[in-house]
Amino acid sequence: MSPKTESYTAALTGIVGKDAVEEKPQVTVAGKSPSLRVRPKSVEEVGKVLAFANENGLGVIPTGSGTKLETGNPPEKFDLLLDLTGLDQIVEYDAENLTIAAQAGVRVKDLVELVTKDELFFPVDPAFPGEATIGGVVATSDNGPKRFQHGNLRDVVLGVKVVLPNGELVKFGGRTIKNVSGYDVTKMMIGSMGILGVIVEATFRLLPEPQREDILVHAFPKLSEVTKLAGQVLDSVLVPSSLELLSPAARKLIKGVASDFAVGEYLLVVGLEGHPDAVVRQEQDLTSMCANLAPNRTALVVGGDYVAEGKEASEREVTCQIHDHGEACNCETVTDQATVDSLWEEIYNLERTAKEAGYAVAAKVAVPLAQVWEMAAAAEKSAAANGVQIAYKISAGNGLLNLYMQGDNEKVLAVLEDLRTLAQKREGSLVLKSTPLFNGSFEVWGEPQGTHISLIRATKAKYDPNGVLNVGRYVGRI
Amino acid sequence: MIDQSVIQELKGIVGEDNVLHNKADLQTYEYDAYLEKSLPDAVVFVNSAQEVSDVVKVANRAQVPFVARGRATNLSGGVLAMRQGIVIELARMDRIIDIDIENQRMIVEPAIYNLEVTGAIDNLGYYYAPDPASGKACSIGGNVGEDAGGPHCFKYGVTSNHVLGMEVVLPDGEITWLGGKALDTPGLDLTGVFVGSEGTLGIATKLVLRILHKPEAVKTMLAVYDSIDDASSSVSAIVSHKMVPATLEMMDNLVIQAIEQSMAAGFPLDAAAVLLIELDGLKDGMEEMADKIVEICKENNVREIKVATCEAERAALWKGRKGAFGAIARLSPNYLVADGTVPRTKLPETLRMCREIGDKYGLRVANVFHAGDGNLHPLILFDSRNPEDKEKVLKAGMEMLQVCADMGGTVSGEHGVGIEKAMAMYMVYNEKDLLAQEWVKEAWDPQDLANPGKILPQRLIKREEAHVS
Repeated sequence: MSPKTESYTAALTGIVGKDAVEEKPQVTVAGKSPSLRVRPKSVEEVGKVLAFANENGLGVIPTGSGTKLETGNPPEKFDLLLDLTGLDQIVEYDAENLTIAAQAGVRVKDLVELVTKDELFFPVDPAFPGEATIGGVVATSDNGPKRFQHGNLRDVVLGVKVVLPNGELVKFGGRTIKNVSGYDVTKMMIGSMGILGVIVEATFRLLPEPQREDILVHAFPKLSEVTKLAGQVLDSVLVPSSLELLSPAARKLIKGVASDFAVGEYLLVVGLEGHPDAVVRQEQDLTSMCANLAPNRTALVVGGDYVAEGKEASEREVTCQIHDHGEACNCETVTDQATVDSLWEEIYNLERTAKEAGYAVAAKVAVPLAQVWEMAAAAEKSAAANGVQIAYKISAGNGLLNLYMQGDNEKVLAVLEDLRTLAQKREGSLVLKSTPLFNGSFEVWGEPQGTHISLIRATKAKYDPNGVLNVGRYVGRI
Repeated sequence: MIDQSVIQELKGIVGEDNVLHNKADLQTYEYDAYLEKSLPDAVVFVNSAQEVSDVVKVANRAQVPFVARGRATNLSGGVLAMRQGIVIELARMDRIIDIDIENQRMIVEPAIYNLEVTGAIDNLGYYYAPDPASGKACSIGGNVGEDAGGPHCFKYGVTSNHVLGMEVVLPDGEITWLGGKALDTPGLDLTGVFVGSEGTLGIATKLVLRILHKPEAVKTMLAVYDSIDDASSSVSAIVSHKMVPATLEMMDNLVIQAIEQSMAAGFPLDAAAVLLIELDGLKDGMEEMADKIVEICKENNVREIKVATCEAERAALWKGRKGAFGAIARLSPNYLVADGTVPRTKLPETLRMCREIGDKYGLRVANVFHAGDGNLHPLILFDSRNPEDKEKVLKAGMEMLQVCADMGGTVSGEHGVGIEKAMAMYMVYNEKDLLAQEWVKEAWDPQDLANPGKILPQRLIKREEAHVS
């Protein structure tokens, strides 16, 4: 250990205490490891640690549970891993006014459990909810299938508190839905990947828990059928909360209720929330639409806990009126909230399941809604031509394609290049989410499209003039 | 005064007829819907992003400030040329560029009226959600500048939730795109920070809007109350019964009187408050929800509740609300509207305190507000011909904003800070917070030419320094 590192250790121990400093932690980010992991227990400590790093020109990467640590270019400098899991307090929970303010290290799952007790709903459903922290979710703007109905982080975060690289604590936004007092820096912090400051607290909008939540699962033999269906649904009065498609390979990674479907088929997973009558009505409409496009298929309705007013829990019935449609469609129902939750869980954790199954590379394609199908078809074609195996999930209501790939590095790169070129032609982008194989040889974010890189650079220079936070990891290697 | 050579350059870009620089002509452009005035040096009518860019480049060379102006309905002095310079009049840039149903997007130029956007896609079954009450008079560009809200925000969010990208002329004259039709763009959310920046970060010349499929069914109800507290309790009870109505709008007695004098919307003159409730979505379950709401309102001592049975009745109920600000003219020649927002449950207390402030200054306060999202609009009535009145009204307005801030809310919900509320920013932010906001302006506009002297108190131009006509 160099004398310099020793003096850093001593100084940081002085700030956060001996237990909160770990030398040579077993963490790598794109092949680089930090000298120290520091785990402050308060916002004040975060401020002092950052001020110290700022004065000494140390490279800092903030993290929560580390579920997205792989996203980004290799760091230019990486001395400290700033572990924020010690900031685990709910700061202000106002159930009546439907807001909650929590510290960065609070896990999504814990927050969901807390508000569910009051029959409220946290409108954010990111990947790995069991581990993901709210600070990480906000910094990476990571959201899941239900984003279709409830919006992205930028639509539900009302304000943030941020420790700037100079150690100062500042706040942006507030706790009301409407707030135009000053520049909306909150928006800029969401998805900023920690390049401007360390998000230590965020205030979210909550919603009343939906009266009923069901999932409708339907299998399709061809991608073209689902493409048609999604177009019809999006151009209808129906309001599903999510519209997800699993490719045949991705469907194989899913266990539980959805795994009974025929191998080799595309699986459409539709989330439905709201008034029970509206949920059932949508199940009927969707099933007819599916049956028209792909007859003689089996649909599965997974119904959540719902007790009709004036009935006992034992009388709970998830009405599968879909049977009324007769021969066109066979329909099965499963009726408990645990099954609904576990199906979502499988989908939220798909990236990890895919990785464990050998799909080492994950990428996200974002394009205008209707173009996502062309992207999926192109991915299949390019993967086949290059001998690369892919599994993918489409969020049809959001125009997102999450892609998991395995194969020779060069071949995988060729597929990625193909898809990025096409996505950019369609006014979209391709971002590499996990990059263990390339170590900087592929531009993670792509050349910025539709973004003025000099503005991002100028903004970074204002907030982090000494280059402390996540240096080199962002768009344009900022 | 700007140099004659600058005027000549401007004429070279847009033509002789499209530059105003005589005092009489300029006076039309010295005010907006706020109480102050400031005379610009020149007004330039532009017709394309390229012309905007060329004009901004001239402003840069001459180091003259510029202000974008659309329909000028701004309530906080947002389009006043506080350091004179060039007003860039965008009114002619009101075209629809693209209607893209498949991707649920629309691209428009900034001066298109808010209502015209929905008007253009209505027959395709789509609409644009943000609906400020002034929709027929205000432009989308202005909505973006102020991050405008409206009655439907409780369910659908504000302008920034529906603007996904834009073509922008930056303060140095460069034309660039931020965001786009896709939902996620790598890099900082510059679109997000531009929306609500009140023209201080550049001029948007095209806007990519999210458009939504029209709901299958809409149910509009009007509940009449003998007390504001009962109306407020009804709102809380509706939300706690797991319902998210599209709108929850409240109007108090003074506003009711103004509306009835102006357009006879059918509101009872002696009611303490009326609550306009609208549900939208699938028709299934809607009757049941409406019945539940009626029941909740009855439990909270509603005097009567009307449910619109057809589109004409619905339009009639809305007409009163949408015309509320205009109707105030029946009561008083001028008003100042405070635009604070509080957590919803603090509304009754906040309203009471606002009334007390009005009483203290001997000013009448009318109230029309978005009860669902806690955005109140105390309209302080006065006569601007009486200078004492104006001073009192400004003081009363600031005190009301302080009340909102103290209640855990904020000083501007949807009208913007402009010059009006710049000093009120200290009520919700400290010096460090404001410095961190200042960095945004510095990064985008280091020369401080784009709509200078707005939003941030440290940048506010003192009245004595400003050239007042």
